[in-house]
Amino acid sequence: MSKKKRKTPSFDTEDCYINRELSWVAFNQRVLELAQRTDLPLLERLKFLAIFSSNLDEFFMIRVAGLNQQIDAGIRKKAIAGRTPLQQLKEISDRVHQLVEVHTGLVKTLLSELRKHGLYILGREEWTEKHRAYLNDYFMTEILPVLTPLSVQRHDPCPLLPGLQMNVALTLRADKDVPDQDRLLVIPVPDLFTRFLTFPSREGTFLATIEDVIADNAAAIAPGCSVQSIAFFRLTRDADVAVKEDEASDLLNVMEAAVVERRRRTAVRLEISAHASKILQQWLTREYELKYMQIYEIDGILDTKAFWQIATRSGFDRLRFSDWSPQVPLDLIGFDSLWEAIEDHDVLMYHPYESFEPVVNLLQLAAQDPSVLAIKQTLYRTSSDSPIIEALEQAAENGKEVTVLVELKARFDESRNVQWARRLEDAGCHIIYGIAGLKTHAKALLVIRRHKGRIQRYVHLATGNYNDKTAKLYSDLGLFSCNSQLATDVASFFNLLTGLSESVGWSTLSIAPINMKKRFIELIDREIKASSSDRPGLVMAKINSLEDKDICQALYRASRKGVKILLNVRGICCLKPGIKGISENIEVVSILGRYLEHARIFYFANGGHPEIYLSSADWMTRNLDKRFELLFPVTHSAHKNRIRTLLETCFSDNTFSWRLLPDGTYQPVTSAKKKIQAQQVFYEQILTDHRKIAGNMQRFRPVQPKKT
Amino acid sequence: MAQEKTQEQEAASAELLGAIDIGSNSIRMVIGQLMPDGSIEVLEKTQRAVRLGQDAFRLSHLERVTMRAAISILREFKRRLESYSVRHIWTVATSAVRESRNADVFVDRVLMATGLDVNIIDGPLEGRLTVSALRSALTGDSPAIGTQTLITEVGGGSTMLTILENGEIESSQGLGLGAIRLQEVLGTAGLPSSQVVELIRNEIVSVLASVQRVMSLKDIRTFFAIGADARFAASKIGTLTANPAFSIIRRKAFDKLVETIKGLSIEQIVADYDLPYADAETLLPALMVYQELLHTTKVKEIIVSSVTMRDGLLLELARRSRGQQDATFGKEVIQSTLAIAEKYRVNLHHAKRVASCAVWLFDEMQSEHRLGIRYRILLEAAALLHEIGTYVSSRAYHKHTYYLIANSQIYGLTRNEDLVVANVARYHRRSVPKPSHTEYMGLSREDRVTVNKLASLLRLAKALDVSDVRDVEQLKCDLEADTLTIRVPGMAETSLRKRSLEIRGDFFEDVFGLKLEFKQG
Repeated sequence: MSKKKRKTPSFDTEDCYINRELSWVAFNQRVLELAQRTDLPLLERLKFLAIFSSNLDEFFMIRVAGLNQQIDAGIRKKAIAGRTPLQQLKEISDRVHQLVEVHTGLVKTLLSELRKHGLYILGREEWTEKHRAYLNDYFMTEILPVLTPLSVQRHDPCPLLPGLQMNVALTLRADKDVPDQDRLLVIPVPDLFTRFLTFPSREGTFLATIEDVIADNAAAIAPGCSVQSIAFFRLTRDADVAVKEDEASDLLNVMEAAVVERRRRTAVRLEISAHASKILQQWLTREYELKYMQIYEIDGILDTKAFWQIATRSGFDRLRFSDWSPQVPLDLIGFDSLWEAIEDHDVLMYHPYESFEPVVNLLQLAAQDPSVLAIKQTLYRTSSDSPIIEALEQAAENGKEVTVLVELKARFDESRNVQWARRLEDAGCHIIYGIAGLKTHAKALLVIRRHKGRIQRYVHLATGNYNDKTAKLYSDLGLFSCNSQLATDVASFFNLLTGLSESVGWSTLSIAPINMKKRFIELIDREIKASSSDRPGLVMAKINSLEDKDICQALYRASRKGVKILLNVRGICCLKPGIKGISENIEVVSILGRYLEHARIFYFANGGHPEIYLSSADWMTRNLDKRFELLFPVTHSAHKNRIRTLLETCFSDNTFSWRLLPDGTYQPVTSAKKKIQAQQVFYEQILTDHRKIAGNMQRFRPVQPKKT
Repeated sequence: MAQEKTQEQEAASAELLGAIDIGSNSIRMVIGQLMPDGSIEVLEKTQRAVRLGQDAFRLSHLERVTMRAAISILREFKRRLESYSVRHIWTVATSAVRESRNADVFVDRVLMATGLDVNIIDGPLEGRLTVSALRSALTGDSPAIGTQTLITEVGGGSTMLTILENGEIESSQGLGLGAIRLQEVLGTAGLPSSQVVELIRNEIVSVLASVQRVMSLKDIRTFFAIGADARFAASKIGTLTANPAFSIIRRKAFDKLVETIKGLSIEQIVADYDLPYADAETLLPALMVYQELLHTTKVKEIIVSSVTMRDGLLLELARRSRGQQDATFGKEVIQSTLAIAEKYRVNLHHAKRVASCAVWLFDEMQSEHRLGIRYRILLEAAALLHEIGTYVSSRAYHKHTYYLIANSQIYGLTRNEDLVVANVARYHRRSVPKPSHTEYMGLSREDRVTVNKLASLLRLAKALDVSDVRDVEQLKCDLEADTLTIRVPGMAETSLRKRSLEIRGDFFEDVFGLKLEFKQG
């Protein structure tokens, strides 16, 4: 009998993977589920509704637009999980329509709940005469002068309405006109007003939407006509090519100019008030070439991204999470000088549980310290009033050599980035706008200082951006170090980015797109080798997204060889866990909560000599092949233990965690036992450690001589 | 008090060192700092491709575009050095510049554009620098150096072979076998790959055959490989040793890798191994040189070291910045000098006596000439060789001495240092340096000053030897105000001796501004 050799599956079949877009939709569904949770404070739930909306906006502008573009280019190639672009679009539309319906219902529920706490968002029909008088007055003096109503004749070329803007549409009838000759008037709502206007009142907080205020004054906009119907709508268009190059490069194709122009005019989504007039619906569908599946009828408030404004307004603190104020990083306690602390030991920081301040402080110190020679930094997304920009500006003015690698193509921040980049340039900083075709996503800072007669280098590497604002909302890890090899590698990295040098070989770092993917696959393969039946290997990873096929395949290989794989993937996950014979040893959970889980952590048991790495990169092809990213090791045993515990805590969360099932759906992780909430555990652990350290300091205080 | 602290800080401060290596494939720089404990911390490494070798080996000169590219890179490198305020900089150029007819133009243009003073170094010095870096990387947990050890570095323009016997340099050879040179000389571009492999192999075999007449590779027990291509091979198929500066490749695995790469096009190498195109092109020829050498010996494994010649440059700079000398350096230079002296049948007894006298004067006069320890060795070498010109003819032999030295390679010295030695030896008699002497005027101003100082010391030593001093130790010297008094036992007899001292003393008095007096000791 011939020996049958068991063939290794190719992991190439469609059913080994989850569709990327649908996985994203599932992620946004989890966000929505948070808004549904009655155990969470009301305004936090409202915030999740806002996040759900703004997530969808980006998704349509980039991913859905990309799929549409594929269809236009006649591409029918299936994605790794099967499905042609059209099939994907259909499924997305089905799922999103369901979610939007849930969302709309939830908006109503939450708004009525909020009324019990004295916060009212009033519809037009609920306004009192006093309200109406106040708002109409506001309309006449403030709003009307800046409105640009567009009269839309049936056969006119339609006006190019900007994407994501709210519009008020009126159907008008002149008195003598016959009914079938109703005219359409579109009024784009100017961006310069806040979405919610506050009524002056002592009985509570009363708000109205700006579109309602405009609608209520329709007669003033179209004098001499009777308003037959009023509706609101909002179009979503293709994002700029520059943004899409990074976020949807897998979907982009070379397009002819004519196609580009057409894409500019057509829309990928229409959100419109339910019961809008037929004339309006027909006109929009025709002019913007909308298909039925692209239209979302909403019975309620459109564009709830603006709820962010309500959720964060002052007052109503009892409707929010209790305050977790960022603590002094544990590794910095007892040190008066940041320089000295970093010279003494590596400093690991877990933001925002631990404050991001030290990072800003280091830059501020460096800007003022006469012994600092040079500062080099990457900047991906930051705000123009950022203290980081200010410090860099100062440093350059103080004569230091300041090199900043600015990534302009950071999502939708482009114009904002240009502003502060210019400012830095004016101050004398050496600004480099990245390398063509490769976005610089790495987060690295290097300060070169002449100290005690020698050159001392201070490195900061992180998983999150140099943005003091998001550092309060995103959970990220950062590391300060004076390690010489690390500093040399970081210096080489900057030389590579600034074009001073080619890649010179790296002793501690792995760099995308040079060798990071290969390194990950080597590390996974090494885990396979180190794994035995009595001592199975272990890979743990905490990432935002897992989409790269090569990485998925390496993980499947490892799972088949008995390596246990625990993945904490917040968003997209194309890997399918728990398939018999392929991924039985892989477990995937997703945590969402108060903070946006953003750290990228990689743990390899390595046969008893565990290695831990942190990175700016996710396991996505765009990160590994099309961006400059860094992967750096955590070497101190105390830090390794801390991060290991952190990972294990993520996998024991049973309150804000979902488990990915083999069919691609997510199921909330629950337990009858003690409730564990990872984010809360992290924060409380830091408080406990703080108390412990304070206690120790007390205990070792020198004994005071007794007074006699 | 405050001043004391500054001095203390000064004493403990780290010197910054910068080494630039202008190779045939790229220009590389490393910036390091010499820590108070003597270790060197690398701060930055940079590398930019510029194909000087392509011009040099094909056209025997550097084209203007290539020069411009090199200069613009060097300018940026210089700026980096300035941003750290690096004081000790050593810029060297190897085979590509060395073999270009317009090397001088290049060196001058670099100096004018960047202020960097390029030293063109020869094969033996390259070898010594690399070996010194290798030695310093060796620690208790490194692979041991065996009784017969071969150290090989395949570069773009040449291959350096150094044989160590019981750890001491036994011989050293630079071969015209470099990865770029092989391509350029053989004109392999565009040929089918099997033909290329054959052509390259033939060339390697024939060059190695000629080497084996001078160097015996059969008894080699340990094989060290240095260079970017060897490091690449180690990263693919090597195993790291306890000392991370070394990894080991088994012979079989190496052969297999070379076979695999032989079957790939340059484009495939780029794609499969993630190498820049320039590196991919040189990979196979370089690995084939290692392979051929490996097969000439009987060793079972290659030890690849991550050290480079630049590490050697930094070490050497570190020593110079501290006024120290590599303990083995002086010994190696003098050994090599003696070998040359013997070749030209010099009276070694006499030569050594003059040398020891010259060195004695050098030490006594330290406060006046303020030359570093390295110049002591140059003076000693010049003294040992000053009479080799007599091998050609005793008439105007000092001139023969000059060109014999100028055309010999003293192991471990730079080309420039060779010329300084040749000039010092030349001026040990007859005319003092004059503006009409072209060889002398070809030196930099700084070197001319040095030649004057050293030659005047050599003249004085030579004169003292004539006075039948049996032992240098009998000599005494006092430096007081404007007068240097040398006490010589058994002096004052014949006027002839007196006169000869006066003549030679004349030059000495000019150079040092000192009056020279002799007294009976």
